[in-house]
Amino acid sequence: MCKDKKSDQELVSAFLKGNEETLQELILRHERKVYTSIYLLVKDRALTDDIFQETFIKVINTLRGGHYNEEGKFISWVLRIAHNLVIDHFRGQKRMPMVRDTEEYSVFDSLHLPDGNAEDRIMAEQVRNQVRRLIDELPFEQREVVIMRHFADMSFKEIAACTNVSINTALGRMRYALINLRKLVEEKQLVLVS
Amino acid sequence: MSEPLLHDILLLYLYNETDLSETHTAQSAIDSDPLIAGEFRELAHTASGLDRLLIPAPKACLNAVLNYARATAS
Repeated sequence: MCKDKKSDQELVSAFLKGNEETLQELILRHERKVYTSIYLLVKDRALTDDIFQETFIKVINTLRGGHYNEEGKFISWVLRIAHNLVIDHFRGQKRMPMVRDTEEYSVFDSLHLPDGNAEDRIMAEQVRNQVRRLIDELPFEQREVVIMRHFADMSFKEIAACTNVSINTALGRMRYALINLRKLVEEKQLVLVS
Repeated sequence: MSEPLLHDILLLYLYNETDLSETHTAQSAIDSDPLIAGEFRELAHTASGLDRLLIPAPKACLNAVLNYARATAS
């Protein structure tokens, strides 16, 4: 029998009332989005691992401390924490990550592939690798808005507030990101299956 | 309508963030201008491809977080 899936908000509320299991459910529900978002920004596996853990430790401490503000979506809040940690890291280094070649990105070798026949899985893997390589080629600001909109489910208004730009700038960055991705697809003669 | 403003509305429309009036503006522009309709289709196609990328956290990394959650439980 299939149980109804609880919303993030319901899980957070249950956790705040003392149900410890819901915290694990929240973490497992969102770990991929959080990990992917951090990785696409920093492009370094060890650093992604560190920021991923630091993000969730902050999330856990904030929830346990009763400081979680229930406005907005849970995942957007988590991704804002991750984003701030990424920015803090690169502020400390005084540089943003450079686009490097792809050989070291072995993290993608561990991609979970959907069930299905071998051909489907190979196809899915190829598409993921193509998309990841394309995103890697975008300038940081464009990559950032793509990640926030597609993986953090943040609205453009939220993205604008989080990145301290106007909503028109956030929209412009997304538009150029999509146009640039389209150009890259054409240049590389890829087929981006939707 | 100026071009940058229309582009913004089309993008908001693509991501389901328009109000009623903006929805009408976007849909009218798409219906009446084949160039805009073509551009919108291309943006939508590219955007849909982005949702196919999700990387799981390594097990050790995930376990560290889950262990921390358990260790800090009251």
